[in-house]
Amino acid sequence: MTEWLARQIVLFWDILQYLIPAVPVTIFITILSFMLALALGLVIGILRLSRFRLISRLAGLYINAIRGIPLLVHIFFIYFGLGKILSLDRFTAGVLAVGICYSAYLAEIFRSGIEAIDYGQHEAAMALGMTRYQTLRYVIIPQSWRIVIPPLANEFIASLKDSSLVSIIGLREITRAGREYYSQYFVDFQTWMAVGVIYLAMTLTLSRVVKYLEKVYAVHGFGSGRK
Amino acid sequence: MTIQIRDLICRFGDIAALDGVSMKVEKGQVFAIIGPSGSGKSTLLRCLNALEDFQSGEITIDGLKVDRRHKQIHQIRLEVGMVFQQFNLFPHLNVIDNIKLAQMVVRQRDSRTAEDKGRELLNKVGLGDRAEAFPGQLSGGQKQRVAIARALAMEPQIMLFDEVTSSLDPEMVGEVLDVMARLAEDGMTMLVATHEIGFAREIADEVVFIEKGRIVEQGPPEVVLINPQKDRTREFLKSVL
Repeated sequence: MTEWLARQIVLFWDILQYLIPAVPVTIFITILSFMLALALGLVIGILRLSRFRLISRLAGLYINAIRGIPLLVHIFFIYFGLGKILSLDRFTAGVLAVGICYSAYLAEIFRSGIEAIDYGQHEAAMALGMTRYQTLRYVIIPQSWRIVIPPLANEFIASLKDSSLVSIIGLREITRAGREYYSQYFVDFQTWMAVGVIYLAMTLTLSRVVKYLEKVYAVHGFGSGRK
Repeated sequence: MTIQIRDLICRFGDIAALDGVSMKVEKGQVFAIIGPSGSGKSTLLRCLNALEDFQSGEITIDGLKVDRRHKQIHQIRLEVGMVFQQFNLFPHLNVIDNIKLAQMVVRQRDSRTAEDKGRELLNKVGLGDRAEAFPGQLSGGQKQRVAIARALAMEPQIMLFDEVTSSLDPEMVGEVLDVMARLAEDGMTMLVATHEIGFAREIADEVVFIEKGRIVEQGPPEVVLINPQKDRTREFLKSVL
């Protein structure tokens, strides 16, 4: 029994050592694609609230179209479809696919975060002579941050997990590395358990960081962050 | 600095919030606007800096037309400060940053100048020691005094006060009215929508009684408030005093 356990631990350690070099790739894909999603999402979310019907409709169309298509299909479309025309490498295609897909979700989070701010704040800023852009930039969005941080963090954690899907186009992140190990040594149970443990360690750490961020951003008597 | 309002009509759907209002305010005058809730007092003030759109009529401030679709509206809003019933301080910024923000962003002042101006005004409204506090840590009366300082920092020519004491606890009304009275003494042009009849009597040069979007009676406080000519004014005053 102890001998069996010892063998398992050695095996598990062996798998982890095989997988760990792929961890930075997963982190890298997640961070880059999420930054893209943040930038795109913020712009689309603001456009969604435009006074000009056409612009807000187009933004709405983008959100609904992107959200209605599975991430895996985005990945295939961008890598095999667009990628052929634009000669995108795997990494770029993977980042683009995850980033674009998540931008639609983030746009909705930003939109609701902006809408949650009392209209009196807009009026006070405008009464002080601020333009619409200045009002958003200095008054509304800084307040929205506190509201959107928890849902954004959820999306970040989700995108970390979803980045496993880019393994399908051959990007060697954690999941792909797991598949490689499995196909070399035919150890299934332990391999996928190790892959799961690595993801779990990362997501649990992130949840901790998010809790901490919420505290940092909390202001007395204001916002969604609780002291 | 003259405000000229001509035949102002402002509708919300079928309801005319303002139904043909005309008046003229000269530099340094203090106008108190009284009337029942929903009479159009707030709407009138909000039209003056184009927070509310109006359907017909005209407002000019120093010859400049107030039109929210026109670019010069930001220019006009610089000259027209406004204080709201709900304070509308920026809750993510502390007191001094609340006062600095628009000075820096709109008036293009550097941080130092804006800070000096802010501290000077905070002292003036008696809150020199609360510069670092956040709005959530202030009482209603203090919030409202910060809001007044924030508006004054832009050095407006005109100040609009939209029922600024209506959401305050009674014991805090005095401190806000004191600040306003001093401002009036300094010669600020002011339009004050208020339920404080006593205050209107003390500081107003002219009292306007509005009901259902129309001016019922207008004149010096000693006439409108003490010896009103119209029955409606008399009834209203009896109900609030």
